[in-house]
Amino acid sequence: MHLIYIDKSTFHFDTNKTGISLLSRSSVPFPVVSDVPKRYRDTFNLPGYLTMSSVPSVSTLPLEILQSIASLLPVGAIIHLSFTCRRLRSIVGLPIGVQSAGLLGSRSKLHRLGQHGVRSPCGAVDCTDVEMRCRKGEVPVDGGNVGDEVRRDSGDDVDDVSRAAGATDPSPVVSTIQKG
Amino acid sequence: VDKEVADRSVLLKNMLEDVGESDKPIPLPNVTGKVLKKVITYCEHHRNDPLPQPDDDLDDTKRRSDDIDDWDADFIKVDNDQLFELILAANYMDIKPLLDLGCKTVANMIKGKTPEQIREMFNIENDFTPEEEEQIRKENEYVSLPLDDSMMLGGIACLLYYSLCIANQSGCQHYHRWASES
Repeated sequence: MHLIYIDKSTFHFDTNKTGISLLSRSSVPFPVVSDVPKRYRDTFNLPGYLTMSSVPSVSTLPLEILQSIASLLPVGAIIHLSFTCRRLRSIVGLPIGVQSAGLLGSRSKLHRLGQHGVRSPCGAVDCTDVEMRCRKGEVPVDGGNVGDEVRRDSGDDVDDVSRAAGATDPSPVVSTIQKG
Repeated sequence: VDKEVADRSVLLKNMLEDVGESDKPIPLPNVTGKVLKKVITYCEHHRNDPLPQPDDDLDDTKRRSDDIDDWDADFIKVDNDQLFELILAANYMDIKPLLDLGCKTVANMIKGKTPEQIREMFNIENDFTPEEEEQIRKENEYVSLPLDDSMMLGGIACLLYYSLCIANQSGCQHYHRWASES
């Protein structure tokens, strides 16, 4: 049995967009669902992604489009956008609890939103943040130990830094380890 | 649709090159008729525009969201559902100028809004736990200080500092009296 809960107050039907046409356009088995209350999700073990799955929204756009949108925004607006939901949090890649305000003064727009491939094992994109967390010993960087000193070259070119470290496989992490 | 118009879409252009001269319809399973009609309207209007070059967007520091011409601004005045469907269609059909237009429009809608306003505008479900939300709220306190206010405070502080410096250098009696007393 498939439970489909339709809340007409939040789901907007129009004459050209029936449930059937949405169903035919999506491979998701329950596309016509605007909101599944938590009690129904728990009772019938429905996954959370049913919510608004077939209705296009900013939070359902592919990541590359989100990054394109974010690249047009000032840093403050990117951070506000990332506060809206988990999916949009991923556009800056900051784990919850990391002070994003510190990024306001950081290098060019969160390092172009990770377009240089800057990503730490904890999921953080910004190099400054990775550095700080590594210095505190919270985040072990590839090939290093927790607490190792992290040196960062001044340039933004990830590949250059990786090459300087003699990495055969370019690491997604911009920082390189210097045994201290 | 003229080939010149269809060629605005890189997807269609490549398909037409692969298929060659043929009357067979080209299926576009991910685009609804309503959205496709809008896309064709856009492509017809921009049929004579130069095609975007692959390295046009290498330096995205030059990208702006306020350089939308009047026709495009009027064209993109649609409801949110249709706007996102247009963006997805432009992405699928590989029509970069239309995708850029959609992205700029969304960016302009987001600018200056609080997270709550963004959620409301785009009907985004807040899926953070209360603890995460509290943490985010703390972060938000730093971020949400309006730029004008922080600049004003900074300006006042600078003025005060320079006033004291000038008073010190000019040997102002009031300043020296105040400094020695404090």
